[in-house]
Amino acid sequence: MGQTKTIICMILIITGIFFGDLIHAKTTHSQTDTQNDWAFDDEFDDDTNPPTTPGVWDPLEKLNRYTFKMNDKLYFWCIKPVAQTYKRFTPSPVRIGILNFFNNINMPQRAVNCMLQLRPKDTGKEIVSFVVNSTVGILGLTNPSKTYLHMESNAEDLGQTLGSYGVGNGFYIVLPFLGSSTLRDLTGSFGDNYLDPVNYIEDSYVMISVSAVRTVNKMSFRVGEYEKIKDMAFEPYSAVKDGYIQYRNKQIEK
Amino acid sequence: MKKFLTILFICFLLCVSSSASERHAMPVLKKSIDSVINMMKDKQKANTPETKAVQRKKIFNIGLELFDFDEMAQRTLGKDWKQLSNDQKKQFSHLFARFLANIYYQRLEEYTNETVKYLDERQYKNKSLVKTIIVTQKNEIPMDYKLIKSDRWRVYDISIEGVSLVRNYRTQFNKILIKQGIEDLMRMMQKKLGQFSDL
Repeated sequence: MGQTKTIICMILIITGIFFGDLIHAKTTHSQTDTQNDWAFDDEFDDDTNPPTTPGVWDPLEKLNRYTFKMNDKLYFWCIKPVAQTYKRFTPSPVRIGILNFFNNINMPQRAVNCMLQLRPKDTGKEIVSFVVNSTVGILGLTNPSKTYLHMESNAEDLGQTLGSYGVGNGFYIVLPFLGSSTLRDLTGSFGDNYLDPVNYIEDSYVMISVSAVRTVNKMSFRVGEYEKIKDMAFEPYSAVKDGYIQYRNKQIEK
Repeated sequence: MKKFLTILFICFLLCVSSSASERHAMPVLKKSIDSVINMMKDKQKANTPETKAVQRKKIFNIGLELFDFDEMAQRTLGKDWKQLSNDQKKQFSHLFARFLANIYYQRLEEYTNETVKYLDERQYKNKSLVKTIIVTQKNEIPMDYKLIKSDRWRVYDISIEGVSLVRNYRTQFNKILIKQGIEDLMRMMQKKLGQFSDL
């Protein structure tokens, strides 16, 4: 029984990824037909940016908007106060150290995805960075590979790898707690989970606490960002959706 | 007569030098950004409500020179722009300009010695794309400017980490225009602007 369920899920995901974009392409195509007379759409856009999809398919919009609202409340009532309190009582060098530590142990995800994108040089860079940071950088608490060797790490994930293979977004999803994603990126993150060392901690209590520290620490650097986005927006849901899609497209392009 | 000739000659020189420097968009952009940054540095020294108001006005004036707000307004509305009456067009670009300038100023107020690196410029006909990076203490933020040349180079779109401002507002405005209408949208803008609509 459980097996059939998984198979059905897999089929849904795969068809979603491949056909979602086809359907979307079709619908947007008919849209662009009527929009062809845009006096202000210029060739320069196409000249410097490879054509990006004009939007993203959003069949779950109603549910997504609901989740978006819930996340909004969750941010102001829970995540923000926790991150702020943590920030107040934790000195900045400690927070940066923790951030570096978790970035460092996340090397497998970056290295594997660079490899999958056929970028052996970047894979090598990731591995060298990891070795340097784990030793000279005291278990990755500092980041000498960046400060002294000027090696920038590539924030690669499986969603981007799939994107670079030409897999489209599928459709837009707002996840509870985690926020914006698409079918492709969500699928990717399942794969990336296998490369996350934290998920290999056997004691589940320890694993949950470690993940919590990682998340709260990360959020402590980003308190205030969401407010700014909301402040600038007239339609926050559309603003975040479009921002996410544009940002991901750019990352994939790199 | 001699005086007249000298004046003419000076005028000619000025024209030549300005057109030479305006062939490329990057120097124009750099000049405006530099003057804004210098102003923010001054602001850190003197900080009273009056100087702040003067600052805001000055920066808005630089903004008027640097940004092509009409072009931006047209692009953000896309095909809906044509459906507006002339009055609505005027009112919308007026509001949008003040809204953008206000956001710009709010972000500037957080200025803490960031520097701007100018990377690259690409030109195509009367348009130009200038790539820059803002270097903060924590990280580097890629910021691209798109400029269009009419009488001088003016910015019509900014992309921050790959997210185009014009495209982002276009998606939002489209949604609002479908559900409500231009009057509602302008009312929303007015409300957001609040006390700064007098710029």
